Amino acid sequence: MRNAVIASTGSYLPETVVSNEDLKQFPQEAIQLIGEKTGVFFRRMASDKECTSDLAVQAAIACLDKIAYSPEGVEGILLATSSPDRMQPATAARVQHIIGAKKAFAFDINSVCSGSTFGIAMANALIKSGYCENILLVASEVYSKIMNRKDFSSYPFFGDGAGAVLFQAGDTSGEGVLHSCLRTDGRGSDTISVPAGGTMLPFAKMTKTRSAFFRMKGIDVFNFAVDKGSEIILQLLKDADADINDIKCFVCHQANANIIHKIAGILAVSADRFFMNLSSYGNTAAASVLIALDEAISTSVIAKGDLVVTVSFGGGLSWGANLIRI
Amino acid sequence: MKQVLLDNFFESGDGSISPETKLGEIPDWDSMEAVNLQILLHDTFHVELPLELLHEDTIFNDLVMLMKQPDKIPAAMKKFKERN
Repeated sequence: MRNAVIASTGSYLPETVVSNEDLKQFPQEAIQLIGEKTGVFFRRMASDKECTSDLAVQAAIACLDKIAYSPEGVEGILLATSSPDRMQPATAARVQHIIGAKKAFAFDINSVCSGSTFGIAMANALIKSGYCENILLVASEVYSKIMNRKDFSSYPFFGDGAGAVLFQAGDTSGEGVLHSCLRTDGRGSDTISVPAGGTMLPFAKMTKTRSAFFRMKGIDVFNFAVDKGSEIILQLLKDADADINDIKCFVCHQANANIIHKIAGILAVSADRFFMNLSSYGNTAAASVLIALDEAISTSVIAKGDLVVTVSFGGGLSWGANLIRI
Repeated sequence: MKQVLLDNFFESGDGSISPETKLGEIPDWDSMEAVNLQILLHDTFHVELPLELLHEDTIFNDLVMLMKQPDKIPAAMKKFKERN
């Protein structure tokens, strides 16, 4: 059965490391809340000169170089982002040009923090259909440039970064992307948003500066993530007829350590089986699952042959999960 | 001060503040928004209010009084600690 198999992974985290204590714009008495409420202690921040495609390019190069794969062999690039270089064109187009993937079609997908899992499902679908032999899936976010740096309800929790996976067509039954579940509930479309800059509220019509910045309803998002994150994992395993005890590692969207622990608790799975790196990188939105996947593979937490669940939840509201044999 | 709160914590047209409004009634109020309010009051009115006095049961009228008479903040803190 033809499907998408992981050939390589890569990631890029900007050089600048920002600790919670470095966030001098916030009252120092509040700093401890950051770690308590989310488990984030450090994050990376893109330089003034780096935009989303720059991070994506570095992650893509890291991915391809790992197996000495020529960019000229890449047939399609999907870029998951909710902090694009510009409203248009697709950020993926610039990535295609810079890495030299001359043959590749390239487009963006935006499902906010669920971008990676939606991207994995789409890459698999494109390969399964026979349309292409490989897809370079990249997820890249520079939230530091779309948030109000004085908004304590968002700014401290997010970081910048990019991850990449090269999928190739495989014919080995039981390997690669085995199943995906994707869900959206548009009733929650105001829960996580950047209100201005699109056709709903053009910048010229803004009456409040804060409309230009990312915002989310913290408690609603927390409850949604715990509820739907656990539910979609169970749905995925049921649909795929897979046993939760056979899952080597859960690679969850790195939004909040407390969310991940609660999901583990609901599933009656040890939290040790949930890979976590958000203490170092913060919430990198769509990029978090691919960055975590790359790191889990690079540090041998997961290896060839292991069964892995990737799961994410985010703006839309959207949520998704993939079952992958590495 | 009411307008500052309305502008920064309510979407246009969906909120009102009375003297008896509690901070917990502000949309999406949580401990993070309390920090945002602390920052806003400092930046706008140059008054430092401890986070303990910005809890969900704080009444708007009491907040206004503390902003107008910041010398009463230590007494308010003492009262808060005695109650908690």
